[in-house]
Order: sequence, then C-alpha cells, then structure tokens
Amino acid sequence: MTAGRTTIAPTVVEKIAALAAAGTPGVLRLEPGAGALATALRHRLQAHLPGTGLDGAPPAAGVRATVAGDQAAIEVALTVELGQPVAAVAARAQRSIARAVTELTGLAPASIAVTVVDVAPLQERQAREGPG
Amino acid sequence: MAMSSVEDLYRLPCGRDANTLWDHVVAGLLDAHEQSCLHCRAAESGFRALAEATSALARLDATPPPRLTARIMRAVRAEARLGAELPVTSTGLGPIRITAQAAAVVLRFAADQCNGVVARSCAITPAENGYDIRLTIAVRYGTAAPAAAEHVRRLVRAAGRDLIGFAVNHVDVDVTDLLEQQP
Repeated sequence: MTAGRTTIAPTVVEKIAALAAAGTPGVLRLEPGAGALATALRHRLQAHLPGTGLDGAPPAAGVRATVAGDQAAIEVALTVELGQPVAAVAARAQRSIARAVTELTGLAPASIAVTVVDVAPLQERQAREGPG
Repeated sequence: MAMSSVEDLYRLPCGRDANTLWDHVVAGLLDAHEQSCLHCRAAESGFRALAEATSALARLDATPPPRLTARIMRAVRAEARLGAELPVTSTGLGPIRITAQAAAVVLRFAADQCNGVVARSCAITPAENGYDIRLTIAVRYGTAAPAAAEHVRRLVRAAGRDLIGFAVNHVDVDVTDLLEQQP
C-alpha cells in the first residue's frame, strides 16, 4: 500500500446519502429546512457575487452528516408518499443510505436518523415540481 | 382533504400564515405573537437567512427561479415543524421519527375514509403505550355520529399501526360539526 491518507468530507457523505434516500421507493423527496435552503441559495449566488465567503461544494439539502474518524453520523429529513408505511419506508431509506455510504466512502454509518417531516400524495410531486 | 387547501400549505402550526410572517420579517416589523411564538421564531430565523439570500438575488437584477417561492415555503414549513418530533421506532441503524404534523396528515386521511366523516384537527400526545390521539370530525347529515366515531377510532388505530408504525392508545373523537350538504 502506498503511504498517504484519504479523507472524506461530510458534504460527500451528504450527497451520497441524499441520492440514496431520494431513490428509495416510497420517498417523495428530501426536505431542506429553511437554513439549508438559504445556504444552498447563497452557494448559487456565489458564482455571481464575489466575496460571499463560502468555500467548497454546497451541502445536500435535507441531509446533514458529520464524520469522526472512520465513522459517519447522518441525519435525513424527508417526505413520504401518502399511503406508504412510514416506518418501513424510513427503514428502507436507512438501509439504502448505509449501503451506499459504506460502499462509496468506506466510512461506517454509526447512526442514520430519519425524520419524516411530511406525508403527501404522489400527484403533489408532479403538481409542484412539474414544468413551471 | 382539508389539509391540501392552499391556505393550509402556508399555515404554521400556531395558525399564523407564513406569507404574512415573511412580509413582516422582510419589513423588520414583527408583532408580539411573532416575537414570542416558538413556531414563528423557528420560521423567522430561516426566513431571515432566506431574505438575505433573496435580497442578494434581487440585487443581481435577475428573475428568481419561478419555483423559488414554493421551495422557500416548503422549507419554512419543514423548519416550523422540526419542533414536534415523535419517536416511531429505532432500527439497528438509528432512530426513525415523524413530525406531529406529518402523523396528523396520515391519521386524518385515515379518518376521512369513513363514509360521511370529514376529519378536522388531530392532536397527538405521547402516552405510556404509544400515543393518544384526539380527533375532531364533522359528520354529514344522516350519518349516525356514535357509529361513525367508533369506525373512525378503528381506522385511526389501524393507520397508526400500519401506515405510520406506532402504537395508538386512546382515540378520542369529538364531533364538532354537522355538514348539511354534500361538498
């Protein structure tokens, strides 16, 4: 093995977790809090406004991760499709996040906390996120 | 379902309208309730950060993305609800929680499946063996209220178990209105 060190930034874990969670059957979408959305907006503005003072990639909305040693703690906020069993969908999201994070980062997911902040009918996604 | 009306989408758990709060935050004029209410304050702190970001957007003289307002409102609703999280279960990987508001959507939806019943408010409180539910409903004229309430009780208990994943202890049903016409 070659000498050297690999580190994984929390943002990387967040993005992997976000993709895994959003792709879980029964999950309608992730839910950024207002603070996370504001941060994401500022990151988008950064391209246009000099001196906004933000470094690195924008965080993945709806996911927060901390990395300590070879372990990652992850918190996810999401909306579940109305009619789907909430606890089962959330547990499925946990497993899918754990798999993706372990496989792609080598970090052990010490804790994956899932909070279901909304339950909405499937057509709401089409109505709200359709063209327009 | 009552929840899906546009007004309700923008209503904070305390009953305040998020659009009004947004206007007050941007204007820098918060009233007494907004200064003391936990829900308003949670939304306000998010709003303030967003107001800064969007005023920077405005300075760019660019049109904000068309769905930005909807995204902001959703974020604020998510934020405002973070206060009341109910533990559902814990897997080997970590805890699973649901906000009281999201759980109420599921339970009201279940109650609405009862013929002649329209679910109104739904309060959820932790109890020793699960959660106690207090539901207010309106019944259509011609529906026998006690039987409907009993049916609602069964539907809500089943929905708690099967659709959310938590145990439901008591289900108190308050019949608070009579609907004289089909909506």
